[in-house]
Amino acid sequence: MSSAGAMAVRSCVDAKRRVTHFTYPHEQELMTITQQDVDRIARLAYLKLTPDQTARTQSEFSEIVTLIQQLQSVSTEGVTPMEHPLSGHQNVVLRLRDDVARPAATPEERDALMANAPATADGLFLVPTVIE
Amino acid sequence: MSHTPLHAEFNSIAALRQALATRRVSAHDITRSALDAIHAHTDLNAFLHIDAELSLEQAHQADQKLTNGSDLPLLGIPIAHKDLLVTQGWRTTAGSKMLGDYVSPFDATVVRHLRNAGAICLGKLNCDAFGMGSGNENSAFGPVRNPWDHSAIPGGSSGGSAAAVAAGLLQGATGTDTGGSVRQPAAMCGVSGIKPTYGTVSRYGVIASGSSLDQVGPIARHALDLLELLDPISTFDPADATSLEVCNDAANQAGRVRNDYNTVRSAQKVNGSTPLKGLRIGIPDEYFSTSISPDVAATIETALQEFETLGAQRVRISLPRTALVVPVYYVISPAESSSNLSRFDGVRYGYRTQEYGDLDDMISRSRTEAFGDEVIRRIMVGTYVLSHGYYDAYYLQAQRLRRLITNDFRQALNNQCDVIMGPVAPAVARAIGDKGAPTDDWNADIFTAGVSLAGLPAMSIPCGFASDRNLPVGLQIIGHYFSEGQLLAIADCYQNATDWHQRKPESL
Repeated sequence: MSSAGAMAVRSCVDAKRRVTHFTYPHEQELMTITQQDVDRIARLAYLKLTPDQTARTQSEFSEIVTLIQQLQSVSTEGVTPMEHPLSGHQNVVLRLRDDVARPAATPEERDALMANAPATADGLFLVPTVIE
Repeated sequence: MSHTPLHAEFNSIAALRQALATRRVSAHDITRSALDAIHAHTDLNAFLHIDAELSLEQAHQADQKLTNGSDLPLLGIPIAHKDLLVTQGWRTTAGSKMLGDYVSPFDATVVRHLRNAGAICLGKLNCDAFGMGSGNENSAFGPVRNPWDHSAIPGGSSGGSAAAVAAGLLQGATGTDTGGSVRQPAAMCGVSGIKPTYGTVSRYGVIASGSSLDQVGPIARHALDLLELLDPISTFDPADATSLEVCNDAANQAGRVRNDYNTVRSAQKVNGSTPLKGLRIGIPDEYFSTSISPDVAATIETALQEFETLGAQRVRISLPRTALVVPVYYVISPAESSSNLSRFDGVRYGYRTQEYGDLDDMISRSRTEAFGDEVIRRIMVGTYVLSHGYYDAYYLQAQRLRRLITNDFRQALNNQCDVIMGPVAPAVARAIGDKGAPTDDWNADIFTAGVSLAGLPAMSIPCGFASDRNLPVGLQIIGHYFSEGQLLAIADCYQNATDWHQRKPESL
């Protein structure tokens, strides 16, 4: 199994005390992210980026993808993905409660829970018309 | 300031608690003094919301209990909460325009525990929006200034918490730590902070960022103050699905951390002038490569020599996957954040845009207008790594590597050393506004994020200053699971022999 030690990691601290790391895993290639990719991800994330934001995201993404692509350079064959950080140390039980809806105990409790909503009427949340 | 404010005359929570118990001072006067100090330091921008009436009402109740001889551990002690913890009465913004007017209908479990222990809340502390950032510059309400140098960042994301403690505005504060957000600002502001073992402190009522990483942890001047703040909140909570019922063999309840601390500290005292005799400190080769500034390296080296003087011995260890920590963290953390932040839809709570067409348009415009650059960046990255065709390559691969990174820590702590020490951050606080590429800040999380991936406890204590700019340097102490009491006892031992934690900025 290859480890991170096989990667060349060089770092320096520049005059402004920013620390910069340069990592060059040999199998890595620069991944291009197109404007269409950015549009697709934004749509999935319910974001409406301006043309400026889209352009900036596109250029930043190549740098970010370069960073996270380092993961590809390591073999993890046979390793079980870790979902809970303590699962290797002790028994971990994820207690999930039943997802049961219950009405507010009192109108006052309902009002308190809805007090932060941008638009309400008659104890209901208001949204734009969905069905004509 | 011409004279020391009343609340700041006390160097520790224990000293102030004692003065309150003997009625030498009143909770009202202490609270008034702290509120005045907050007003005198609004230039730091550490607080997002104060409400003197609410605080003074809590002080009034504390004074009544003190008169009745109550022995609550934090009775009358002024603290404040990071704005990611929801509070009844005070607004909770998460440092974001998204929740600019939000007032919670309930208190976070941690807030409730600290209040039940008698602490007085002074208000809510500035932070990076949704805890995303390491300089507090991503707050929608402006950056926080470092009390040591007003042109420098305080670190982040719990920047307001660390700055408020460093400026002596209060005795302690809550923070949250997903990849270093308690430890790094504590280091940059010259105060102490601890991130406890994942699952020991409830996250109920803590606005979620990375759910497999988030932990609440206190920030204060002295390790002993951290003990006072951490012990009552280290408790099982059925309302948090990840809250642990047991820590090794002990129940997860108040008293556990304190008992462990007492046991370790008593054992240390038997050793006289070498209290840390027998303690093996693991020093990871990878943490002392060329990636840290020479100032930080030299200051850490001096601190390690002090630990040797106290009887500890150094052991060379290796954490071979250190270079993978940042890429793994910046897959898992944004993935979880993007999922958690999908709840913000401008319908049930939060910001809603003024102009919109259909429902989808309303949701998308509201989110884009209110989240801010860094939050949008991480949502985009998280959505990308979770999207069809990339999930296996990024998210699943990151979770596999998370296990390997965790195993490296466990191997070292099981077989080679009792604790691991090293830097918190590669450099001291940079100037406000001197931001490089987004990934520059991310890369600087290299020493803190691995601990978070492994779920281990770790703390930061002040250990000196960089030579030319007089900015604080923090030492990180990483322990095995549930070793919070041991870490605090080791830090306390160091702080008894040094006075870095008692240094105060000249401007105060």
